[in-house]
Amino acid sequence: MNPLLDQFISEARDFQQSIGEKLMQLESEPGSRALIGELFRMVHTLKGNSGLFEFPEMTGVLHAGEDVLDAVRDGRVPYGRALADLLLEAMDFVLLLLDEIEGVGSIGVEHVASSARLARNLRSLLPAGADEAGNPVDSGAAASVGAPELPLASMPEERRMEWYRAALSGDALSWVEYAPDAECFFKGEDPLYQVGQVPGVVWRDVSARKPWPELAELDAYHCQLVFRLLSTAEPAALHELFRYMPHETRIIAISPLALLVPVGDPDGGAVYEDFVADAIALLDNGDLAGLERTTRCMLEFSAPKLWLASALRWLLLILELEPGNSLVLRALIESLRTLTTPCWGDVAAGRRAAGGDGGQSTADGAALAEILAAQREILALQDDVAWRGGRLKAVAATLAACCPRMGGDRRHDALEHALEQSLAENKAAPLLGWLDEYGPALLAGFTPAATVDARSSMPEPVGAALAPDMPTRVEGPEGLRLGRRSDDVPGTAKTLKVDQTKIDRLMNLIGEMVVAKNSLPYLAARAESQYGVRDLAREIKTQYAVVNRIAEEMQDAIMQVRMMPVSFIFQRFPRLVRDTSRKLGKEVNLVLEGEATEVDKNIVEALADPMIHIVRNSLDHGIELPALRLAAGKPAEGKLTIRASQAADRVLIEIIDDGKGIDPQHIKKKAYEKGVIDEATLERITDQEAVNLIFAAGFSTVETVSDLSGRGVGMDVVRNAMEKVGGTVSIESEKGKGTLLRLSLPLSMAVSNVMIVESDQQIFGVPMDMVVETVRVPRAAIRHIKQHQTTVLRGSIVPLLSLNALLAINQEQRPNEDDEFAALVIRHQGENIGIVVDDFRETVDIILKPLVGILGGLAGYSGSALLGDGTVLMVLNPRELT
Amino acid sequence: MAIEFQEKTVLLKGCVGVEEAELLLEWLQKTPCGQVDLTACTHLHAANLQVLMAARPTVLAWPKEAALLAWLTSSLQST
Amino acid sequence: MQRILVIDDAATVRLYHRSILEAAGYAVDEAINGVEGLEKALRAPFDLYLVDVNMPKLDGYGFLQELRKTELPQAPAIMVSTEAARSDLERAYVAGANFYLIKPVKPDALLTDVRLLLGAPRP
Repeated sequence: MNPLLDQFISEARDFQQSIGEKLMQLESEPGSRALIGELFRMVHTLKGNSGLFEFPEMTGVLHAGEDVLDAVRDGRVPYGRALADLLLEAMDFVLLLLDEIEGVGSIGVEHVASSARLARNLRSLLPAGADEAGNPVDSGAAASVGAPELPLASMPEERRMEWYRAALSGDALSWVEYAPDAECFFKGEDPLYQVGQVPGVVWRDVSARKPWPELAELDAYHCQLVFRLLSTAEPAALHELFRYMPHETRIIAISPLALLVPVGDPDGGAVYEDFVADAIALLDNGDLAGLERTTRCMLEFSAPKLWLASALRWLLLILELEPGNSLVLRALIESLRTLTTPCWGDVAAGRRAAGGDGGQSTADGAALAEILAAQREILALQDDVAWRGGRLKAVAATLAACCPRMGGDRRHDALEHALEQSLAENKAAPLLGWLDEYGPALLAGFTPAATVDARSSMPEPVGAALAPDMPTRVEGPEGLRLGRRSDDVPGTAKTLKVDQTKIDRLMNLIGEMVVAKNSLPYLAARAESQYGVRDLAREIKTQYAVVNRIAEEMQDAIMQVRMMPVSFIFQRFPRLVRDTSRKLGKEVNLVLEGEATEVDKNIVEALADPMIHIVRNSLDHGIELPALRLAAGKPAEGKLTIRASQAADRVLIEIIDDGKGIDPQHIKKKAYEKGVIDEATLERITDQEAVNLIFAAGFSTVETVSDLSGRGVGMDVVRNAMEKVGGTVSIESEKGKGTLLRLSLPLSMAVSNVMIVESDQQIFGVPMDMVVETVRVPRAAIRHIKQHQTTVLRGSIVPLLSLNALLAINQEQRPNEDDEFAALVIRHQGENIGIVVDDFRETVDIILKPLVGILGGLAGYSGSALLGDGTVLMVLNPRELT
Repeated sequence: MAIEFQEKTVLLKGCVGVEEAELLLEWLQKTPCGQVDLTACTHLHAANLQVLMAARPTVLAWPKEAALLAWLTSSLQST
Repeated sequence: MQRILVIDDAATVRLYHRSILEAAGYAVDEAINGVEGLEKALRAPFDLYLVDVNMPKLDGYGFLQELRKTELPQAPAIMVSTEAARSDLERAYVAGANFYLIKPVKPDALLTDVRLLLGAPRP
């Protein structure tokens, strides 16, 4: 995709998010001018960014938002809930559009109506008659001005007519002016060779930047040459040829009209009024044949060297080539009244206005006029600010830049003098004087003869690629370059945004590295046992230690890269809590703590949904309605705290509310009714055990399925989700005081410590954090209760399950020589279970890769890993097995 | 040698490089009426062109190479 | 090579301007706000400044005022804004801008103005 669009989407997402956060903050600090200011700035910037592309639906809404915020900033509109709701809605809409842009590259037409509605609603908050877009700057100052002066008139008329003819038949014609850098010879450049490469040269000239000095003074290696040429090559080819010297080159596409310059003696006395009147009449009547006759006749009576004769020859040429171009014909005829070349820029503009072809922009002249007008305006400022001197210098620098250096040094001297005077007197007048004196001449330098190819210093493909309305066209080297640029902005980016797939790749590589490294001990063992070279074995082990250390550090470093702050999830909660509590009619103060705590990205992602579930539960069932709270002697506003902290290699997330808490008696009753517990248990269990029942499958105290947390989903879903990523969830609750839910997760889940077990001549891995202990159980100690095997360990009965049976392998587990079975005791749903295997082996650190594809659906496995000897280890998930 | 100095004439031959410009300039400074023979010249480094343009010696013979000829005549022949 | 400093808090806008200018052969540096812009200018002054109006820390007006107070060579500055109001234009000129462009800036218009404001390349 287009790197610019990528950048836009990524930045826009950030803005969208920050804007949402600021809006939430504003809820708690409604009067904060700083927040409003920041909010305005962000919406404004986002709007500006979107304007680079053709996303009017987005820009429109943002523009409305910006106007409203501007009004709030100025105090014209009060900030209130309705406004906040609308802005939040607008931001949601923007997010929707961003997703769509990222997905399909554009915005569907179905959003036009929503965009208009949102913008209208936002604007409806503005005071009536508000001026929504300000007054546009008058930019029409010099729209008719054309292009720089080219010495076309001095070229032979026949040649120009020839080129005109060729141009009309489709040939390009470009003016190239190439003034090599004075030091270019030292850089190994040969400008003559360079211009020799230009194809299709129809006219050429070499001159010096300034008159040649005395031969004795000449520096052969100080380049003074200026090359000028006309070429029929395509401008793109010329840009390509001169791409390494854009500053030294001007490439101007010449419109055919620029060639149409009659030259010759202006016959002083006579005015050809009669001819002009006749010719116009013939033209108006469409009698082109008559016009041609009259013109030829007139030409025969005129001396060929006259300006008149030249104009007539052009007239005949136009009649021959473009008889339908009456605008040009008319202008040419009328020019005979004044004997000056028609202002072709205006003619072309007239043609555009008349609905003819698009024509080209007359950029340079117009731009220069605007720039000069701006300097005049700056000089006219009647203030006396501290930086006035600097401002005057900047104006002088601008004027100097606008004043071509070639042969114009007197003007530069005068400018310098004017600046000195201005600075000395602290008055703008001397500079204004310079502008009055030289400004008109500067502008006059732009005769409206040629039209400028405004992209003259920019190669065409890049121009196309940058045009925001074709965002998908960046390809090839330009695209690559853009991509690189966005990455290596020096000193700007303090954080680097890296594509997640790159990090994943690093993860995979370090995984392979760990595996490769782990093969070294095998190698050492073989060196010793198979080849009997003990010294080599020792050396390999030493090297292994080094590689091992580096690999571990590297792994650690990569893990660090994957860490991200939990604020990534936390930032969703202000909005969630606000919307939910409003819907429920509750008042809740949300407190976020420890947002900077960093956790592995996968863990962060795994946390989001369970946390949302818990928070909704707290709002729904925990925190009471304001009236009930007041009645219970609590403040009307409930408090919900979400806190993250790190404890050793685990991260703790606590979600605490000061709501009504959980009533153990109620839970017990419910659990009994739902058949989760039997009567005996009901009598026996403690209050804490009762509270824990909410995690049991099929248990949900929700009496009515609410819009929010209900849907029949209980806390068992949360527990399962936590267990999937190696986490646990626990609860503490006191009736009437509130509830605390604690999630505990590993900081990183990339490296797992597994125990290798053997069964049916295969090896399997079992995550160590599930293994409570390993025991050898003599055959005699196994009791059969119904179909189940059990044994007694430390005074309690432990059910025994055979791994072969669990994996549907039709094979008895094998005892060892002493007729003992190997049992792996794991903790499952608060109970110990023994899994009988054939034998235990060592524990290893592995990089666990989840099973993907068809294998991904296999229950009972949490993934696979490569071992040092290259074999694949299937890692079991005993929880899913049992 | 791409450059050969005779008594009143300098012969530029083949591809005349940037180093020759210095020699050419020295010779033209010492030989005010020096003439140039470009018959065998196939390319001239721009530094040499600059020297020739500043010195304006009589050109006895122009190069045969068309592109070079076009550039040299437009720079050395006019006025 | 002529050096241009693009100051804008929006990375997208910086990339946009940078791409256009670099494609035309200019050397471009970036700053994310007025403060960073000043730091960079003080380290090595630029030949042209392209300045956004609304930025955190130090906005475009503030940047220009501070720049114009320094003893640095005073290069032309273009203020780039989405606002087209007359009052904004004047404020930009007072602060020390030499020209004013409205976002989104069209590539050809930007290049035309930049070329004029940089003048002929220094020999």
